[in-house]
Amino acid sequence: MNKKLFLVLMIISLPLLILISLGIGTLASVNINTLFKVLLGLNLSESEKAIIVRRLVRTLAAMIVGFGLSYSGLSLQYILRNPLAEPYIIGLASGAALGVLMTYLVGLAHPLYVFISAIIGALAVFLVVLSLTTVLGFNPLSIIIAGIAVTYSISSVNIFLIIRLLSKIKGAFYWLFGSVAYVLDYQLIYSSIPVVVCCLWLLLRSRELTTLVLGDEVAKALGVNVSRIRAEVIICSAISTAAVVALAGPVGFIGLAAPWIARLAIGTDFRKLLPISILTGSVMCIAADVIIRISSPIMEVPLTAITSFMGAPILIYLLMKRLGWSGA
Amino acid sequence: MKCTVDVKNVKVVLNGKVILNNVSFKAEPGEIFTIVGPNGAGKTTLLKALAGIIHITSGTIKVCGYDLVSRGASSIIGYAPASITIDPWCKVIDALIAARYGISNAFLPTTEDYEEVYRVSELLGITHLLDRYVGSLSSGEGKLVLIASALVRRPKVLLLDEPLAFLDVRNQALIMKLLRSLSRKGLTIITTSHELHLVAMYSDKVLLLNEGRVVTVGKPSEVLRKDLLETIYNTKLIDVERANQRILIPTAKD
Repeated sequence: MNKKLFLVLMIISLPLLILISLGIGTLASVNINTLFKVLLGLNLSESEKAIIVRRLVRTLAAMIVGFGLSYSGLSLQYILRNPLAEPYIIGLASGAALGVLMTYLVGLAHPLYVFISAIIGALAVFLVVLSLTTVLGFNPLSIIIAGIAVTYSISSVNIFLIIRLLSKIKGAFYWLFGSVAYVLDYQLIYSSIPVVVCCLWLLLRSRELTTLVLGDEVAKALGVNVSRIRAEVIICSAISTAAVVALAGPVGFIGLAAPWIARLAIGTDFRKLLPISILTGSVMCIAADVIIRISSPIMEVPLTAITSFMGAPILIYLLMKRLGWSGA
Repeated sequence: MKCTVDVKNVKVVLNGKVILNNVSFKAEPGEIFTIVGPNGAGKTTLLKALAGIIHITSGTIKVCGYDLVSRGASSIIGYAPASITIDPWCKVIDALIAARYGISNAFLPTTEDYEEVYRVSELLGITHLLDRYVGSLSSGEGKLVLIASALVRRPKVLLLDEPLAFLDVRNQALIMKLLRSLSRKGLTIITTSHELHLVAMYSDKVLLLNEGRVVTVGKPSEVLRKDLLETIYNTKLIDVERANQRILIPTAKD
């Protein structure tokens, strides 16, 4: 796909999808016309206002999920030099799920506690992965091996906890499968701050990060502190992913697909890829949420089901068209 | 600005093992200086120390009169390792642009960055590879891209670890001519090599390294002597004379 065409498509898609997302829902009387009333400065009823705010929170939550996961995935693919690296490979999703299940186990299932517990769980498991990586010898491969091992171990514990707590976790059911349907406004604010701050940090570091494609030794010869930049990326990705998982649960495929779709469309320079991946991830997540609400207005479908269903064919198509080691 | 690389009494200890010991030499501007020696002699370690990748345990390395340890010299050094280290999922053009890090302060690549990448690519005959993924390249093509990544920085000192490895004879000749042309412009070029017959052709000065110590430094004809190399490499060599060039090659006979 032409670079400029892709970029224009993404830039147009984002505001368009946000408008569509605000205009659709179970209450059909609040629709695009209601949005025009807002734009024209006309007064809305209290119920209309409440519904628009609710949809806005949901839409922004989807956007933050795509935002955080896409740049975390991109950064991890870069520093681990592994095209299959994504945020969940370092144990963050399973850790967050463990944190949530623990709140139900101890009977503190208030949304705020659930949210904080998810972040603590994700970061705690990530620290275990980091410790194991230190023992194995810190390198891109060891962090992936440690991440996979810990993810599977924690997932086993989670399965036992889910079975044990089956009757109590109805409230967390959608969260466990990845959904923005029940996100609360304060959760959105709490999650957005670390996601945006970490992204800005990586943006500041993106010139150094770009040199890692040359290999650690060459990057060092260029004057880059490779260990520090790698540690910063891992910590930023961990915090950002933990915040996203705490917000919407483990939403799959975005962290892998969005950076890849952007990469195949516009090239491999990190500085250009970072904003484009974020745009792609946000568009994908909002589009997935819109599809859920159109296709299944009554029963919520997990976001992951749609992101994977939507992202996989696009990714395979682009890979077949642009890769195969045949070049562009 | 022309740069002398002045190495004095350098010692490198890695994981408790002495890799380089009391290494001293001077490479002058306009000179092609080649380090030779058996596998494990410390050639790559020495080049990495010069590139600032490995910290020296003791001694001094001065580049353009500046101490490498305290000041760093990344802006004037171009370094290419022996094997292809570039991410296979990266496009050649993006890798070469990334290698321009520190040359300009712009956040995004500038027109000057692209112009320099195209200039060097033309010099090495790799413009047709620019839009390819590094993983799709042959070893020889990858090697040329590595050398290009060192050259796009317009360095004053060029450090190339085995620049002729993986290359066919046409590209070996291309690189040797290029190194000669760059040295005539005043670049200080330090390489390592196992291709002793080629070293004799393109180098001005040769350093023979063995077990981390300098055996001798001098003109190729002074260092690449049959008796000396047979002792250091512990193998029999044949002295062949072709087109007024004496070359030493190993023999397959007992």
